[in-house]
Amino acid sequence: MLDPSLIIIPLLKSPGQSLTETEESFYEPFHLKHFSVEFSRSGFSRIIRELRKGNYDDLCWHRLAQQADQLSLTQGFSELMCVNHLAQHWQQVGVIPYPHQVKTAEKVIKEMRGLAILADEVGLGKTIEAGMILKEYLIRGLVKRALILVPSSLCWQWYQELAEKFQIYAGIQRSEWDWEHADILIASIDTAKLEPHAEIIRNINYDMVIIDEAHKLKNTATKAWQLVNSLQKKYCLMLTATPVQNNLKELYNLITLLKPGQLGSYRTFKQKFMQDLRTPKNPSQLRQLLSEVLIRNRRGEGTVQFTKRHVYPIVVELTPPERALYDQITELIRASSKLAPFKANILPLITLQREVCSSFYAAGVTLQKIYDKYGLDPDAKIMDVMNEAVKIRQNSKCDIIEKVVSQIRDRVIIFTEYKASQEYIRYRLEKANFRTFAFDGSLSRGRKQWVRYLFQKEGGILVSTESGGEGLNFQFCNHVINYDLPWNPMRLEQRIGRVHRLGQTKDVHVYNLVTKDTIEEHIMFLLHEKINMFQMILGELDAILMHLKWDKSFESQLMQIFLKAASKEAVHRELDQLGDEILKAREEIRRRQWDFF
Amino acid sequence: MPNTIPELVFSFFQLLNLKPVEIRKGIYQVQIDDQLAKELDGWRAKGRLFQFTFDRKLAQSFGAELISPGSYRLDTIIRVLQKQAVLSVGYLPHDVFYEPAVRMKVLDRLKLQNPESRFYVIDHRLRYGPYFWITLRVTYLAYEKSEELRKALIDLISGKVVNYEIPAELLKPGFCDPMLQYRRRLSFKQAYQNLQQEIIKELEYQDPAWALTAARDLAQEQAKLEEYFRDLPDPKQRKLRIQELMDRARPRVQVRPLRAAILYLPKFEYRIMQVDTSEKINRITYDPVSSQHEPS
Repeated sequence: MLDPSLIIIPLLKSPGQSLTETEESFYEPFHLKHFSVEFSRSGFSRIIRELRKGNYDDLCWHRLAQQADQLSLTQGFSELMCVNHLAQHWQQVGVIPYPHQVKTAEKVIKEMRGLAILADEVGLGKTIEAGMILKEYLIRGLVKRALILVPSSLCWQWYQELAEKFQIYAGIQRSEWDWEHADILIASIDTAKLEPHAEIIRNINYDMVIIDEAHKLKNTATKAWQLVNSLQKKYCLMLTATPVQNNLKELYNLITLLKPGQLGSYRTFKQKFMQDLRTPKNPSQLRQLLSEVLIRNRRGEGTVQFTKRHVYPIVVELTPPERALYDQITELIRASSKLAPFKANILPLITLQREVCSSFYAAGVTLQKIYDKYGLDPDAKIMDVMNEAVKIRQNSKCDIIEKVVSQIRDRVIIFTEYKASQEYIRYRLEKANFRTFAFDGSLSRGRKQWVRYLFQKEGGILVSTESGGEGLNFQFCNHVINYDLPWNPMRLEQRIGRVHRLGQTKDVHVYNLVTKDTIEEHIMFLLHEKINMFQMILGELDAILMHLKWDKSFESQLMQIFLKAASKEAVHRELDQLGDEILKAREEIRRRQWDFF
Repeated sequence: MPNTIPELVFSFFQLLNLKPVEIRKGIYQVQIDDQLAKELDGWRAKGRLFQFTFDRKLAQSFGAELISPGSYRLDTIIRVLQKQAVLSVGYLPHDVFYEPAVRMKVLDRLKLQNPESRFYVIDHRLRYGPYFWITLRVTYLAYEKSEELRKALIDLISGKVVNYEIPAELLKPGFCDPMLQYRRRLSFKQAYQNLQQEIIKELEYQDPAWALTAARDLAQEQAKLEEYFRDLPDPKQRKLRIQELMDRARPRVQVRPLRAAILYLPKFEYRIMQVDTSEKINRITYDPVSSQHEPS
């Protein structure tokens, strides 16, 4: 008998990597009548390597490993394996997948065979659905390498969602090296489309590609569309809340990117399905074809109901000195708008007009900049205004904020557009013995996470600028104060969306501070009374603004109205018209989405 | 061979010299060290007191980790186990079989073949024949994927793929006495090739319904693609898209060896005198596992 010590009894030794962790190779396939048979070369080589090394394991391990092999077998797609796999983890982290999400994941895997556009309305959890699908394929061994292309502001959020909810530990692309060395990689689509990155990605064979905000790929002439079109991908998921934005050509481009030939060639598509660029022909047949690659869940029965949103406009009355200064600055802006540099670029004046509604501290900084840069001083007014601003010691908005916060007695997020205002608010609240946290774009990712963690754990008041809040969710808080109102309703929606989204269990309270007899009052009229923006479906606003195709930004539209209108009534009339235009666009979009899906 | 998940889990800990303690009915606790924690949960994990249960309700009420079909913890244990024992060695000792009974069986069979003759055992030797025992995962792949586990035994002397059911629980670890071993006449590569031929034969006779369905689906998809590229002649794109489609949908069977063992199975070698009109000495080798004998 041989010395038994020659037998290695392993204490969990890992002989190299498992098959799933290495590149697998096969011998030349045998072609039978109906299918081919491939025998693994790498699997056999692994055994031979052990033979050559004389690495023999104990037979007890062998028997147990065979049993494990038996248990690891997968049988068809009868049910999602990831649901059982993640059940306990989800319980720990408080994730409960909604039935529509599980159903969607099942449909994508069983019926759509891994090629799908997830077009749920905003807030229904498209990321969760994509995460479940990815996890399912990973567990089943059908995906080993995946690429997730997202807008750069969402990279970190995707990383967190995948790690926290699905225990998928992806990498975030930072250098050229990462493309080839990470199995699951999250990357900014804007980086990926540039050379030399694009060239590297084209040469990689991906098992799965996921694209967030896929409506940006509607135009075949863009680099992003061309990049995705050139990728080698076995499975592909595209996420968008607005698959149809403008016309049928864009829809065709999106579907073709996912599954070329699904809608035929563009020539046949035009013949069969297009009456004109915006009106479909044979809608039922088109709907049938779309339903093979596109899933759209809507809010309502069978999906998910959001908690209520309560909006409280709080009117702030300026003190006489504040009023005088506000009027002075407004007058200054009107006078300056006729000067040459501002005729070409109105942006500095828009900023100033918005800042003056926020705080005189914010406006002071811009006044100084305008003075330094342009040296313009119609009748030496800028210096006068700045001198006046320095004298003012009171801030009516902050007085109100202190009162509101002390009544809420819970976590509150205060949003402001300006860093100067943010600092002042914090100064005032700290002075009144409130614990505050600052959150702005200058913080690193790690620091933002840390502040978020402290805010969640210890409570208090988070004073955030918009750029600070981007990409992070705060469902654990349900009170939002808008210290100033952004002129673009999308930005207002994004602020509220930080807390009012899937996972929020309480009603959300939004307090909008509106300074009486200022531009803010007009904005409030437009957003709240006219278009009832606060009760719009999440994401709808985005689609409306894109649909309107204005040649100017929303902010510029408003500024033009404010500058041109001679009286308060005229402003009101102009805004009323603008509101009608928005409402009309909304109706058209709603009708069109229903037509298709 | 453990048949249930609890048996698998307890055997796993037992082989690691760990003894889970039942701290409450249905709740078990075991101290795992850093090395095992890292194997289970990744490089950042640290050793800890690990509490587990096989009951979903207990897991919820007590907070212990649930080990049930498809659960995360069972999957991690399976993953660790699958990394072990790529290659093992063992033998089936002769004393599993009662030699006088084997001898009787051999003589009876010879008598049956030659009723006119009388047979006497002159002497016998105990030998071991080498076998290659491979565990394979067979994956049927198209849009869907299903798998089965196969175990195959290849005689490393004759090269035949034999269908014995190995009494795995009776196997002893390690090599048998080298003096008793028959020399292997077949390379392992040749053995694998023989196995491939055998599997191909089996697959040819299996119901091909799954492959026919897959081929039909594939043809439909391919037709759509071809139609699309008829109007848009772009050979590079066409090639890429067709390749993707094939990767996704082409019906194929993939066979992966997961682990193997070199087994030495007993052989009884007899010298038997055959007496009828003349005397003749026969050399007979009897394989008790397959219950077959053949002239040496």
